[in-house]
Amino acid sequence: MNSLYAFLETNDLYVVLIITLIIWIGIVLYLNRIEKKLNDLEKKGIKE
Amino acid sequence: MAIKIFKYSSIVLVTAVIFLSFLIPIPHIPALGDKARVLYYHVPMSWISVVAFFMSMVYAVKYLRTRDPQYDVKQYSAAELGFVFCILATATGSLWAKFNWGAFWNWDPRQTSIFILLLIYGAYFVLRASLDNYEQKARLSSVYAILAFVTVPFFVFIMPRVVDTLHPDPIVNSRGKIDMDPKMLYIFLTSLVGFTFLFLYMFQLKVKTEILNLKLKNSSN
Amino acid sequence: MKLYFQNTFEIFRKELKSEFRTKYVLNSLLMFVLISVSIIRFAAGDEKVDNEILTGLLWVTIFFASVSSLARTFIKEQDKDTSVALKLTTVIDSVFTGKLLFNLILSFITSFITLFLFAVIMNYEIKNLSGFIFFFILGITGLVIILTIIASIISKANNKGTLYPVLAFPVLIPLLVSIIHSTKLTAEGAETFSLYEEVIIILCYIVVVLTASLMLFKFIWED
Repeated sequence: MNSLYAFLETNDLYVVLIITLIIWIGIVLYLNRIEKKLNDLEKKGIKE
Repeated sequence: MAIKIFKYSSIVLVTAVIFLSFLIPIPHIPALGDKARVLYYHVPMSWISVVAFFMSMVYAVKYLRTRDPQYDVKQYSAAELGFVFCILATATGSLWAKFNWGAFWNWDPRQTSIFILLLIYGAYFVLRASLDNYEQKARLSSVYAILAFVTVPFFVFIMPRVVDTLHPDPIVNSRGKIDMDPKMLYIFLTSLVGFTFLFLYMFQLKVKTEILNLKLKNSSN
Repeated sequence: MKLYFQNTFEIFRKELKSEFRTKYVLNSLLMFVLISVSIIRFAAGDEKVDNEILTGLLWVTIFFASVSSLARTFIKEQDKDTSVALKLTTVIDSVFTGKLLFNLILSFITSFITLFLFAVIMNYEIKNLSGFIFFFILGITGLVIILTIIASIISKANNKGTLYPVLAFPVLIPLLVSIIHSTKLTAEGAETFSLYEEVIIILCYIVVVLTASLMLFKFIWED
């Protein structure tokens, strides 16, 4: 963990990379949630 | 139709920004260095969380005026997306703060204001969860959204008077000028537009889903 | 308009009457304050507590004391099903202003007692007393307006007790920050005049919040 911190401290660009990844993962997770909800609705709609 | 425009243009713009943000060299900024590139990602996040908050307020007003459930769905969806982007802004900001200021969290005025935004969004969802009746839920959460929105601007005036900030100048600084390398500015603006479109796309997707949900609920009753 | 003031006054009188029949809220508020101050006293032990920290503790005590009992005025109507009667007989907004007046009186009584207890038990020193009292009154007024409108929202909800501070706090932060800041400075002896910007901000906050509450109350009080 400490070596990772030291590495990031000297290599600024990788901090930016991690931040980009965080945003990417957050958006994907949220879209995934919407999709799940849509799937549930689809099933419910077919049943009726 | 609009949803497709937002979808594809956001895909193109955000992809372009991801490439350009890493490839284009930036002028050296003391104490920031390459970390200045965070600007392309972090600022749009906080911008969107504020825009979503504003949208939520506008739809709340519209709901109270017309009592059209569609506006409640929009209000709620905007708030939920705003919450997601608010979390992203907080996470990215505090990671940046760890390497620039040495701590993930140090109650800088800007960190405090994003924290308040998080609290407001949180309180809004707690309120919605604790009301059973649908109409009541829509009405009271609209009232709360408006009430919360009215008090937020005060914060902007008060916080800098109480504590100093270390946060880099906002894009348009206090002298009302834009002090940014033109190359960076273009990438930044592209990113801002790209992420805003992405937000609008996600917003419309969410609204569509929720309206479908509402229709199914009504037809089954 | 005349009816509105009349109704406001009548609701205020009704609240006072029903309160002084049991003295439930006032007594519980006073006990709460007394308990908090004694806990702080025990925690401090023999040490002299810093004046700056005491200002913070003073507002913590007042905030939680108010949150613990100001919601009762609205919850009471909901529990006893008297809200329908109120709706039928009064101008809508007067319900809010009447209850606001009552809460204001109640809070002024308890917060001045809190201040007195802090001064006596904790040796809280205030160098610029008039300035301090001025900001103190402004702060309590803003606090009570927000707490009253939030109380009317949560009276319809399920988990009232926990919801109250959760909803009130984010809205109150701007006020709390500036009021703690200015009371701390006046307690240290700052001139009231040098803090005129704080006065303007707090006054604007109170006006904006009061207007918003008056406009929104009819939507809350609908059913």
